Amino acid sequence: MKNVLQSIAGVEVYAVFSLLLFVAMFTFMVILVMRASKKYIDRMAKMPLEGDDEHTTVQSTTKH
Amino acid sequence: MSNVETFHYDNKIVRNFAIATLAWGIVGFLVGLIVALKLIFPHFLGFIPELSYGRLRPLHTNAVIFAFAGNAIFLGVYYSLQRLCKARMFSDTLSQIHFWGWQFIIVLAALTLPLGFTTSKEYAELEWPIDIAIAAVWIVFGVNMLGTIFKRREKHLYVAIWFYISTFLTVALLHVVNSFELPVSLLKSYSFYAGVQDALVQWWYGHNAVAFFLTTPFLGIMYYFIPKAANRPVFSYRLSIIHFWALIFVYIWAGPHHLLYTSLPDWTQSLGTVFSFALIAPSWGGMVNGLMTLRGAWDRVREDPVLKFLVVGVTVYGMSTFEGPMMSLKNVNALTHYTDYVIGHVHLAALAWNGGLAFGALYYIIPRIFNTELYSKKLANVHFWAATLGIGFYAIPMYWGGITQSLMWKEFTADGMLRYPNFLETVTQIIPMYALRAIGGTLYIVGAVVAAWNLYKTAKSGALVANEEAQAARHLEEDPAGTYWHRLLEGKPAKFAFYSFVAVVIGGVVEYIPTVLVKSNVPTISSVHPYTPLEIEGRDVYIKEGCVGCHSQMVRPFRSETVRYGEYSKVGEFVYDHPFLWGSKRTGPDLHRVGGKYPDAWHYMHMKDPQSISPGSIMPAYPWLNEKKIDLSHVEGKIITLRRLGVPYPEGYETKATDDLRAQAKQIAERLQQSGATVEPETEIVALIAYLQRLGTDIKHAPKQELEGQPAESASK
Repeated sequence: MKNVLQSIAGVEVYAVFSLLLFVAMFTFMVILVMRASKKYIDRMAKMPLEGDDEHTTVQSTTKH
Repeated sequence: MSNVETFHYDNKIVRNFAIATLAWGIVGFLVGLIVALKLIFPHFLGFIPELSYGRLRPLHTNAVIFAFAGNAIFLGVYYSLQRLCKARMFSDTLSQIHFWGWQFIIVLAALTLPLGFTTSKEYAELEWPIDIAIAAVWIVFGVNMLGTIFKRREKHLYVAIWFYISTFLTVALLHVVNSFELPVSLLKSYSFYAGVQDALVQWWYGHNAVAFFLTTPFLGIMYYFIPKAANRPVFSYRLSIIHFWALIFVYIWAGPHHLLYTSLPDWTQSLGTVFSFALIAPSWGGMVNGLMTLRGAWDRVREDPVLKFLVVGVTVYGMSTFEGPMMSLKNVNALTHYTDYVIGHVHLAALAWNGGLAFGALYYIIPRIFNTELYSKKLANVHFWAATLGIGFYAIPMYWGGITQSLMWKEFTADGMLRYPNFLETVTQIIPMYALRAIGGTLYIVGAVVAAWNLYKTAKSGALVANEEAQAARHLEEDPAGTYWHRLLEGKPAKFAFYSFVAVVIGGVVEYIPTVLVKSNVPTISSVHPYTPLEIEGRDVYIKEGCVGCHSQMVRPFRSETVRYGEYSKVGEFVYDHPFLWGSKRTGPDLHRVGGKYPDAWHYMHMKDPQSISPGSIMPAYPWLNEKKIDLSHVEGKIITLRRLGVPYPEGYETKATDDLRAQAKQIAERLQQSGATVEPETEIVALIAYLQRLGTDIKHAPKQELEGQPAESASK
């Protein structure tokens, strides 16, 4: 297996390329996420709990 | 307000998927228990071909992955997606087609696999017409999901939905690429790829099926149901964004990466190791995010069965995602590969992570859609402890047995001989572990049955709210809080879907190119020839009976293996193997060098009654092979199909093929006759013996020793 892959000219390019691409993408995402506004983050985090949200009223499954 | 709309969530489809999850789950677990018992009592259930170990094992894996976990995914998606989008599913008709289509595919799998229709590629065993049906139903699911997202009343897409979208797109890609095959008949096809290339594609699929069928959708479920059950927002939404992108980006590459980095210079090898390890980071980021959501609410974990299952599930997710990268280290892999350690690893993850999240979601959803309370918290606790103990009793003996057996395989005496030259000794040593595993599995099934009963009683105590009323503002309000980039990325689902698809496609392409290049780079061995028509039939018997489930065909370049089996396997030996049959587990010995090792009569007796030759063996008997005739009507078609795939049979050879088959079968039957075994020449046993005797022998022959009448032109590339 090792020798077969080694015989492909320039195969290491793929691994190096993928590593660099990942590092670039990861850095980009971290910067993006750090710069996101707190308001947005808070709103997103609360989204699944929005049964109690003021803007939307989802009827509770347990009837009162 | 005038723009507030009233609409209804579809709970009926959620209920349907819940029933399917439970029903198929119990069926899948039971089949698992049956195959576990067959490893202790090889004659359990008698000699019925449809119930033999080799055919039931893929049924078990397919049932638990695609029927149990699959329906659990759809259960979680259909429940949470509607609520996160504040919209009913896009189309009730599509929901119905999706549900019934998926169940229909499961039924087809449950019929075809025991009947022996299989491609033999692990977790992709289903034959080509079913592959097409899977693609169609999967697209229905995708359209229904994306349609719901497009008509949503919520501007932003919560992170759970990102995981769902990436699941849909990537599984579609994996399924299509790995299923390239050329049909011979309605239920028989040959893989488009051969040998090493087939192996690379298969394990690119296998690794990423774990990633995008058993991980990403369940992470989406985690990100929705843990906050819901704990009634507090996720620990860090920022972390969840990084988690998502890092995970889908790294995962698609990590699988074959350990194949790749062995060929690289030292400095890139070190980088590559770091890169493979990088997968621990997003995985653990997700685990920490899930568990930390419960900060300040840990007391509720004691009370709430939903949280119990979710917490154990996420904790085990962390353990398994640590174990995975460890097992991809070469020195660890040398010890664990082909052993039951891998079985322990996958079951720990499947039972606790997939099972835990599935049951957590069920305990959460059922009381709510039936507008009632859980019937019995006590029974849910019984289920929890039965499942947790069951997992322990399953995984620990498998780890122990796997390592024990591996060390026995590798042990040499002071004189440099194998201490356990008889493979069987290493098997009988760990049979008590197999017994403990069966007890663990039984406990898990008991728990699941208790859960089904509890949930049934819960449903009975309430009434299904088939259409649950909800209200939300009609227009997507402009939200100034999101920045330009965020709006670009996930404010627009089409663009989002595009970007995440690009992420996995880049990974796929980077990996796929070397895979394609491999084909023309495999050194040709001039003495390696295509199989004879009889050997093809024998190989197809080997595939049909699922021999690959217990026997590998890949001798690794270790002294312990070359002493035991013979010369290590060369990639050039597999160039005509459509599909590859390297296998992934050695319950029995490797078979790549079995050709010529024993006389024909040995194989005949061994297949008929293995214990008569190897007392104490757990190999099941295959007496029906002596009776079943080879179907000669497809011999011609098989030659033509294989030639189309690049196997160099001469033009027109197909017309001679059946005669060649008959001649070779007659020879073998005569040899058997001389040893006192009377058998019809055109039976499956004769074909199988022909194949087994051919296995791994080509490199021993000089090219001149070709038998007359055999297709013998070598591929000179």
